[in-house]
Amino acid sequence: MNKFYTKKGKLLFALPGLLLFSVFVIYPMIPQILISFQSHNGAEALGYVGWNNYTNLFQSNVFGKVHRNTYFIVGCSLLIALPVSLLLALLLERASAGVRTVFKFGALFPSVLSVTVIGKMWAGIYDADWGMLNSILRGIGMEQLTRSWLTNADTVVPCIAAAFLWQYIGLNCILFYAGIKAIPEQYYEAAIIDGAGFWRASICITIPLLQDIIKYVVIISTLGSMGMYAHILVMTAGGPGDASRSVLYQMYYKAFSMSQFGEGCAIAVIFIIECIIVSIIINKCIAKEPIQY
Amino acid sequence: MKKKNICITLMFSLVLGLCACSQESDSDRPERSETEVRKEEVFGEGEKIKLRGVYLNGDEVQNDIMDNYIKKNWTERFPDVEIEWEGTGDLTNLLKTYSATGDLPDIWYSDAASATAIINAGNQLNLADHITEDHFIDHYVNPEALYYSDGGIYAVSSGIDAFYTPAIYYNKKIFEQYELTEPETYDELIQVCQTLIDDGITPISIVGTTGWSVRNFLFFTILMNDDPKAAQALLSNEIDFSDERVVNALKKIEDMLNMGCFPEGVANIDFSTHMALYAEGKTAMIATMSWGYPELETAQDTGVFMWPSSNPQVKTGQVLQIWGSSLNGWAVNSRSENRDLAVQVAEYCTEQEAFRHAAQGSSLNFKTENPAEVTSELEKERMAIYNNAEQYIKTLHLNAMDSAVAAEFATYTNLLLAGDYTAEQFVKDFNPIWKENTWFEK
Repeated sequence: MNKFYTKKGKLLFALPGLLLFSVFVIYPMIPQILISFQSHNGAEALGYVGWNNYTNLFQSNVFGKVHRNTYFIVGCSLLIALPVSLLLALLLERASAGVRTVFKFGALFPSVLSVTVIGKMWAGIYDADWGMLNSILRGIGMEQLTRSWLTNADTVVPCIAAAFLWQYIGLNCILFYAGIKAIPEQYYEAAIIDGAGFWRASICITIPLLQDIIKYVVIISTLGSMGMYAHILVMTAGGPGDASRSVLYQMYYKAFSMSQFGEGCAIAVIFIIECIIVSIIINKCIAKEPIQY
Repeated sequence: MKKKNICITLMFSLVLGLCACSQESDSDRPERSETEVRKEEVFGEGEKIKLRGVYLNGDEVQNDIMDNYIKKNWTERFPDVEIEWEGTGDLTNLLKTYSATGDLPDIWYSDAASATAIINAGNQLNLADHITEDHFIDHYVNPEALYYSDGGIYAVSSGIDAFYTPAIYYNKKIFEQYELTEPETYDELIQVCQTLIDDGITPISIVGTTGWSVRNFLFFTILMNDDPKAAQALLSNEIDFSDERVVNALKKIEDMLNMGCFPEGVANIDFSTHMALYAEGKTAMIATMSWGYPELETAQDTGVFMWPSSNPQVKTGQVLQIWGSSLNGWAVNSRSENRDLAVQVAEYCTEQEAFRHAAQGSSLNFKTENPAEVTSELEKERMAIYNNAEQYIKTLHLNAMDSAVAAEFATYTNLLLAGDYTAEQFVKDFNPIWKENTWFEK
């Protein structure tokens, strides 16, 4: 039995996965990295240009802007959506069975909807003329706050972020709820005997024991927010001008709209590095060691 | 040892990947000019030749051509050929991707936005010799329209594009209600708009997303109705966007936007919304391309006029912008194993496309027997104006901009429609990009 636990044995078992990972993940990256050092119009390579694609990106104002937009959405996702999801999950756990059933259906519903449907729906909500948001503001006498939300450079990114977060808050909540249900009841019974209330039990028992789930949700939320593209395409097509583009949208725009695949691939390479760094930071910061009670 | 194992694994997977993604080189490929020979060699008798094709399924017209003409009559024309069709609404990006990965189909519907890159990569066949030899070119009223600037023919089409123009369609009931008449000058158009704005009606519906209307026709139509020579000079790169006449055309759009001629939040209005705004009677006019007339005519009692002239020397309707490019149409993969057959298929698709349009009474460059009469009064009215025009100028972004410049033109025209962005800022930002244009480099 022990002979399987040698280094060779471990490698043998890891080989199928490693092979698939190499063919479908590592290998496609290699031509991408090569193209990032070329002038490429999408149909053919026009020669190597060294680091020019990268220097062009770093000198461009748009590259900074798309990063600001992307990390603004990541920030909203982590600082607003995650705490709200967790709070909802904690409350859900204490709700009646009927409320839970209705909530679970309602919470999951947006996450299974097509992004196109959600994008169009929210674009309708934000419409300057007949949109629900402006209608409500007019209805409660706050007409001075009405505006064309998606064509204003100051409001467009928060508006898209709200649509994106709305879609995934429910899903995150259900993930947290599943984690809460896995915590043994005895811990809570002991806490009640010791006089702990809802907040105390949540802070001292639930949240620490949810570390693995929190880590998972933080990773998928962060990387999901960083990779946001479809909502922008449907809601604003990156506009007004380039005001609402994310890093991925800019990559698409450079490669496919402008036929500058070299710069597009350079953005992709930078983006991959960013994602790896962010994943490492999250892994280092959250749940390094499993908590044992 | 561990490193060695990992290296071997990675090497193995890379070799596998390279083998899977490699393609046959030209030198390895035998000459296969005769389709019948190819068929006998490869498939043997009784087996069908298989081709791949990509078509545009962006709207009902395209779907009608494919389903009720090309597919319907296929077996009769090509009983021994099987074709796998792939429809797409995003032709440009799909074709670029296929070209880059060496996976282009045998035939496809080419569009100007992607064609230049594919032609330069040597993947799009020059059809000039083929269609001259088989006399297909004789079907055209004006064969010159097929030639690209390098003297080659890279796509064949029914030639309907050249009969599409921008136009302003208006709601007759609203015009009657406010005692308005068709404007014949730019100043009269502004007066009509002001009257409508004063009465709480949004005057003109346009598309703002990606600057669609401004990019496709609005800016250029305004320019040519102010000075046709300036439009022609811009199209042939003799002037740039800093030219005073160009700036004035952009300023007119800025002025109309600030005046409230377009719907609120116009920069984010997409094509379907701009059609719906007019169809539901929320705007009195719609500035759009003429291919959309059936929907407008069905929805409202509609009239049509051309963009009014802003120059006393230029009569309204005298100069018209026409759609399309010689690179739009059915194209053939120069590396197709069944090249001659693919050319025949491209010609067949063009014929079928022409039959469909002719059955609707549309004017075409491709000659067909017994074309139907135009039944729509609205289209008759527009075609009467079209036939009386003295000068036809091609669309700017399809005939004078490379992909990068066209994309940035869309971005900045969208910004212009968002407000708080002046014509002068537009020129300052966009003119350096225009000067980097590679379209005219031959």
